[in-house]
Amino acid sequence: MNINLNRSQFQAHPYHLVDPSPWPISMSFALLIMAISAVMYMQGFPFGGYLLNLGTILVATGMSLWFRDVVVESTYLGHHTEQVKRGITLGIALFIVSELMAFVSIFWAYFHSSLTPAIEIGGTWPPLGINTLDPLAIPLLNTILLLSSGAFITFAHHALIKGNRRSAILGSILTIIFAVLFTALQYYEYAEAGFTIADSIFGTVFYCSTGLHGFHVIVGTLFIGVQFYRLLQHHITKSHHIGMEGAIAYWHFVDVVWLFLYAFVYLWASSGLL
Amino acid sequence: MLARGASRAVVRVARARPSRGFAAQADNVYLGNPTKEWLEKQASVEHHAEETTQLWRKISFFVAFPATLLTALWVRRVEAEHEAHEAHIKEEHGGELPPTPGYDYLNKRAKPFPWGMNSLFFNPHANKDMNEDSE
Repeated sequence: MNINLNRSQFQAHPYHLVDPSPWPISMSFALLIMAISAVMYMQGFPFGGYLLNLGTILVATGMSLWFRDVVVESTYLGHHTEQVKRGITLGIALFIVSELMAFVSIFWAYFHSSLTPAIEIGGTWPPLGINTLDPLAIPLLNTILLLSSGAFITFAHHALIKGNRRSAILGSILTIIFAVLFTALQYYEYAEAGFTIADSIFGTVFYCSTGLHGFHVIVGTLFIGVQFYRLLQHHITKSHHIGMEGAIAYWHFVDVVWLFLYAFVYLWASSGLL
Repeated sequence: MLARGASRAVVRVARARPSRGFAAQADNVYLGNPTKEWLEKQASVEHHAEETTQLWRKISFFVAFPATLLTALWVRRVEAEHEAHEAHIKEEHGGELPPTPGYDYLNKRAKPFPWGMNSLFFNPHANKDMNEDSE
């Protein structure tokens, strides 16, 4: 059996020099198609909808194939040394910081509109005619669901480090269940709310902020789901699971953003403290 | 002869070879032993993980679950109150919710959505149907 490896190929450094891959350039085209077609769709240009579907499928496929390559390189080819693990962990942390900045920009818009409400909306926040959602109803339950899911995934993580496979699986399943419950309840709230995205600047910032957050919840759930699948398939060891740690960090980030949303967009706006 | 084989197997098991090579346990005064340090760090992390797992197991089952259950019951009560209040308002108004005020910043439509006049999560019970021609 020829394994294509001999002494002259000894790698005298701990880094991973990746093989040439088509996914970065494919992803850049896919993202461009998706961005332009989204604008075309929203502005009513012909074929905007079809191209948007194409763009979304290309992005999702590109991501899947790229991540699949990373799993092959690490789990099956063993390229992830301690140094590579450190680099990837830093990369994931920086990515989460960039996502945080996206939320900062939306929170900026929210505070710009709410701290000095324009006279055109009645000089008050929430604007006249807007019936806000009761923050002590479903939004409170959603907060408890996200905090609990954070506890479950922490339990799963430490069980994983200990080598307790059963508890790691149990904790991950509970996290995913609570995440799905959160998404379902948010959908219910969206459908039953008395105001839409087109109801003044309040509707816009409310649905843009909670919508962007909801999208992140869905992505975070998928991330944990993929890592859970890999856990089941024995890809993971108790000392090497940076994918799982990335998913957990992303999930905690999603949880913290929700806490800020709950405090400022739900509680504060409904409190009458303005 | 069978007995000899069996006793050899027992001795093999009892000797309990180390899981890594002997170099992993070696001490070099000048250069240290990175493998040994890593193994020791792993062992301490794993040992600590036992207590942390127990802590978060307890938090999960004795705090998270009860809090979720109690909040769910509380929310059920609040939502029931809301519904009763809404029904009362509908009754007073003659079977329908009072229309939202006609402020120009509400139900804003500079142009229709790509899928029509109503928003993505349009609910005829809670939102105004913009397809109906009114003023």
